[in-house]
Amino acid sequence: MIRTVKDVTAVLDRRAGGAGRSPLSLLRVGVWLVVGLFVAGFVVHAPRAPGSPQYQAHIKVPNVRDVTLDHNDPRGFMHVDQDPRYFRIAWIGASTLQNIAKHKHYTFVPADFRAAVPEIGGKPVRVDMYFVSGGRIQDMYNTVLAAIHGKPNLIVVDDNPLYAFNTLALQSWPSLNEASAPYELARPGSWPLLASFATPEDIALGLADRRLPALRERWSLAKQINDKLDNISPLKQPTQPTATTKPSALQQIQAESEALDFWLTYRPIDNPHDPVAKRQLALLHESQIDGGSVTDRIVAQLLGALAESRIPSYFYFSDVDPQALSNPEVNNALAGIENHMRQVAERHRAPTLTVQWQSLARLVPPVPFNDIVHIADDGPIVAYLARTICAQLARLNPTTTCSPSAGGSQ
Amino acid sequence: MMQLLARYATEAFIGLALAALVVLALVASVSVVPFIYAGF
Repeated sequence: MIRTVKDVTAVLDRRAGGAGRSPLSLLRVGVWLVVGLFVAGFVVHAPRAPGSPQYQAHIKVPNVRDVTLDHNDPRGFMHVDQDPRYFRIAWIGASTLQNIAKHKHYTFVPADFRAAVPEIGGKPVRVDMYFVSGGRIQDMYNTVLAAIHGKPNLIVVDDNPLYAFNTLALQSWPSLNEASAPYELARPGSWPLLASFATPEDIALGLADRRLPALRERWSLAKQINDKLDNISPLKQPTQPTATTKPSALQQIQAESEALDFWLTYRPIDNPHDPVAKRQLALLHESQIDGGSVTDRIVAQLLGALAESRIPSYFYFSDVDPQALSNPEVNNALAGIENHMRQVAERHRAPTLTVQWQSLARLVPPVPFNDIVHIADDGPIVAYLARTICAQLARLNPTTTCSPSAGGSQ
Repeated sequence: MMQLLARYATEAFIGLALAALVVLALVASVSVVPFIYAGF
């Protein structure tokens, strides 16, 4: 007769042969757990990680692809194969990679570079674009580590001087913490950054999912399951208004799928009606350039990783609106950031690494801007980058053939 | 002998069930809600 817990334990012991009663038994359970995780990777198959169709659709140049995965996908980036038939460029950047020209001519600087420089060293150029829209300096570092792991022939990093040393906006892609945790662990100088940004879960899963496909592919599996659940759910996604006439303000609110959309429209964080120079200055003043900040460590680690990789690398500060730059206060604030970048870069010199610490605004003819940070004509920028990157490659290896094609750049 | 078999079978069952639960929990914890970009 069962009267106490001991009686229950006795019955379970009798039927389960005493499983779990000794450390050795618990160890065997653990072994089966690991075996089960491996087997799950063979049993459940996830579809190949999708790229970013919304951006890829705008890239008309061959051999250019956006390798960034969904913002929530812990894999971070698509698997990049090391195809020796191509000269592979990993081009990293946030939204400043975009060229948002008028009349809906929307392209990317790396794609226009590929059009201008179709061949390097006798091989066709292939650009893997690590486009982390809205990315901040820690996202840039995580992306650089992922790109180095892909062993490209050249790494180009586009960084926005407005955010390089901005201690109030350090990260907006926390999903990259897991993907880059194993690489950061291998660099002791990055351990304080791991402790600051990554959770214990990021590190544990970052290490585990390298060998366990069932864990690594979990975002795709979750999407598969969610798609099936959505089909049987009585709740349906709202359809966007398709009327040819402009929808009313109320209809626009109705079409929003997130409450955040409403607040971003009706309670914007900064006043979009302020002059560009005023908004630019407010952002520039958020930078901490007196040394010892967390941004200094991130930038130092980023440049250190590029230098130690021995992969030819070109780091540059993206363009700044010339209209805003004509304001002396903006000019001085930007110069402070540039000088600080120069000081950090001097501690991480390597023959393979070029750090263009001055903003492109100082080096290329003024280009029109679509808004506070996005260029509307990348022609002069692409021409400048093609020239300087080819010169760097020629300096590293004089036999490398790399020259901008006539008419390739706009 | 039978008791030993029962023990091993139970251990394997618990281990594999735990593995299935771990995978299920991690799959369920990943968000697939579309990202809404709040800045530039």
